[in-house]
Amino acid sequence: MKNRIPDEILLQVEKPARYTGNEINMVVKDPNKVDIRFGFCFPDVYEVGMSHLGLQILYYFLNRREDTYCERVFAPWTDLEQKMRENNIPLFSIETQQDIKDFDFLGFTLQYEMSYTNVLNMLDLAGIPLFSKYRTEKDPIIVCGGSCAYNPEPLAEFVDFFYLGEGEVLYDDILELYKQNKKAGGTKQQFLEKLLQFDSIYIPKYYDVTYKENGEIASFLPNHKNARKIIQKTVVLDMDTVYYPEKQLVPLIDVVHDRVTLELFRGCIRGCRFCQAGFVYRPVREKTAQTLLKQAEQLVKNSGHEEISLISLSTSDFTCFEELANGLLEEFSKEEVSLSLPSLRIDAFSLELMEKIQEVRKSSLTFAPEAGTQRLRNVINKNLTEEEILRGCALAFSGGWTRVKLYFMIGLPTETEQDLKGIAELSEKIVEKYYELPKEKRPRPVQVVASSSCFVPKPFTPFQWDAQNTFDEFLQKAKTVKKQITKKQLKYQYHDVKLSFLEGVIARGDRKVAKAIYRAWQLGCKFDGWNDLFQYDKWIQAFEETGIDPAFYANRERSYDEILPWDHISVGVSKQFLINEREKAIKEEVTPNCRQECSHCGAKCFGRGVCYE
Amino acid sequence: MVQNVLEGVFVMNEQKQIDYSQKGYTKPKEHFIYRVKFTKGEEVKFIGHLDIMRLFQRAIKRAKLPVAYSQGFNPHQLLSFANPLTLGTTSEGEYGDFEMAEKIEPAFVMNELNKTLPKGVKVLDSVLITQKAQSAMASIDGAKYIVYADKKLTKELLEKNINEFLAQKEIFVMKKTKNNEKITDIRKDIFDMKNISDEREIKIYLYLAAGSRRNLKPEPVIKSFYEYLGLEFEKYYMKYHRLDLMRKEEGKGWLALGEEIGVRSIGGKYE
Repeated sequence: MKNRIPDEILLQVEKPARYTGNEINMVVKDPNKVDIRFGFCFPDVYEVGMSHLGLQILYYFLNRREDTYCERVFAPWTDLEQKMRENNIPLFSIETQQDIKDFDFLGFTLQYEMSYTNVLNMLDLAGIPLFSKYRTEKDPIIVCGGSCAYNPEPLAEFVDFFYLGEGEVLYDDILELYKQNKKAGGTKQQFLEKLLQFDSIYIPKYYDVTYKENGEIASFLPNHKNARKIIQKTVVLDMDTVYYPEKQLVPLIDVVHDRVTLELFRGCIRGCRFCQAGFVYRPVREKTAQTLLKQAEQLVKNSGHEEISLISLSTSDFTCFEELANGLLEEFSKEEVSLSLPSLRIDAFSLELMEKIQEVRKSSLTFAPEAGTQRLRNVINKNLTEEEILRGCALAFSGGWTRVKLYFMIGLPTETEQDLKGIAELSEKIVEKYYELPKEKRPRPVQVVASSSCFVPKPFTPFQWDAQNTFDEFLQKAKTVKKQITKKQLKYQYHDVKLSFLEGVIARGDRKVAKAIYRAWQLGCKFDGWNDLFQYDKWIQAFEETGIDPAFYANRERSYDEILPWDHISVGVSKQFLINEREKAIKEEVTPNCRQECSHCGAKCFGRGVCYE
Repeated sequence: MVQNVLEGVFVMNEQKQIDYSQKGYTKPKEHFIYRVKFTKGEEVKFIGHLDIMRLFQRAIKRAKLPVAYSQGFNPHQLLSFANPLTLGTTSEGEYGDFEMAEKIEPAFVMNELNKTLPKGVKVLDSVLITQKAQSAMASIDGAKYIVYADKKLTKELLEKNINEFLAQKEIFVMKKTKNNEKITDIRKDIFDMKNISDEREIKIYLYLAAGSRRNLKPEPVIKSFYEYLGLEFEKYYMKYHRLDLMRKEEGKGWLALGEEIGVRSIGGKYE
């Protein structure tokens, strides 16, 4: 395969192997012998995109069809982009190195709001009109999915259709329909109309929005007779029988996560009130340990990876965790394959397990108390008590760990100064806990790093109506925490406030926000999630020039009866449940997790999962 | 790092007889070292040295070869690779020494790896080292290259000037070191330089000093030749291809890294 980018250019850019493919298990097909060419577009750089589990799954899922060739497309890094523009080289796919503007579909996965300018930039680099309405029959169909697609509105004008839910369920039907339509000489328009038969497809142009004078939505109505009022997310019902690839793309260069990925379950029983993933992925659906052990064996065999990572929103909640962990250890410790366990709750079992798998590499342990006081943890329904945190740390310290990372959020609803000081106090108690150990058991000084991110209210959470803190409030709060810290073993860091503000605007944006995104892209914004490339001033300029008031989206409290931009989408969790949760939050009442007691969120409607255990 | 371990094994094999019957010693398992010669083709020429190492680690795992691991808390495969290739350069003469915990047919190592290596990386030869030998990296003394020159250099120009260029007693170039640049004479490190152009391409053969003692890359030679001819040297338009890595042995002269150090068959059943 000849590289799309000539050598003399590749030699001048950073990490040229980002663009040359040829990875282990890359799918090779003759593009002339397939009916459908699908570009799986990840709107970020190669190393990030290649670490994404959804890409690994859908790549093989789509390629298992003989009639379809799914190829990968990543955002070129700025150095190459500049050369591509200078030399008129359009955006190409990794596999065949061909121009993606000739593909049938381009599917973008939306994992974080800060990648939206990259979506536009990639379309533009490909030579495809950005606005859906300006695209013609010869342009590819642009589809978006992923967790950010649950509020599709900020990208509505650029996207032909949104797929809401898990890809394995409907893509076969969609591609079948496309093929039939194409063979029968049907147009793109006709295909989109036929897509209206599916519950989980949202086609923005079949809906009209009107606004009140104050900027709120006045009405949101279908303009096509087949367009449904509510678009319902779709989920895989049986995780043991659903397709899961037997192999993984194994990159030839270093990427962020480069290991066998085992997905234990989807969804989360916890219901932390700030966490969008905890609501939009409901209900919890698990794989059995048996299925996972089989998948692990195949994946290790076909990849040659030296590490297996267990992926889920909360690994300790996996009902067969011990069985799985012991099974994996038994199977793979002889083969020099190690285990990595993110999202673990610290208890005696998990520590013992970590002893076994990590041997002496006692790197650092991470806890996420999220809030500094029990009161505020109750508000956000983070069911982790101070006693549990301190007990976990004490266990870890006596086991030889000396570094602890703590994650907090600032700007949570109802937060007071006491809650902020609590961040420092809890962190310092952890330091003190270490010094309760006898001297001979303390090999070196303890290091505690507390970091706080700025709370961003997200759609489909009980806090979707809440005002995000302003820039100044966040800064003030970070200072309050910092001032409270006295111990030298404790370090405090806080995340970029500007980025969180922008994320807040887009996360709850409506269709009007598209103008600002478009303008920001025109002004040169891209890779906004990358600190060194984020151009806050340009974004502010874009808001000003397009007459979009960012504070209207980020810092305004909504009333329960306001039509929210994502109200036409259902993730299974009812709005009434979210309202109840918000009311309970204000009263500092906690909600039990799904295994303790059903709280009737609505996700039972899918007919499977933890709701029926 | 990997290399040190490897040399350690050699030292152990060739001298100090440790009395393992004494308390506190466990006899280390015998390891078998295979010197593997492989290509780095167009498809992988932008994969760097460390990434090539990881690529082989994973290929060895997929091929289920009985590779030996280091001892300790963080065991790693005992592999070592010779002379890193500049990013963008292709090669048909790369070498690695792979330690196996079992004695297997050298051809088995080659064939099983070739079933699973990515395009562009192909094992050409595999030798079980039976002679006293230095590690692949430590034994290098020279490297052979073909340089594909850009259109500015014609066959005639090349033919006319190459001998004159080589007839110079000294050829000075700026060599970058870690902290600064210094003027170095590279003439003594050019063992040979020939015009091997054919109908289609302008090609120069180079035989240069390489290894830990003296090392010369092809680029400064060609750059200096262009300057000698008064031609503009455009760095990114040159193509380099490594043909082989060579070592010098007392009484034998120049040998390729995999020559005369071991056997290609141990007479096992494997073909």
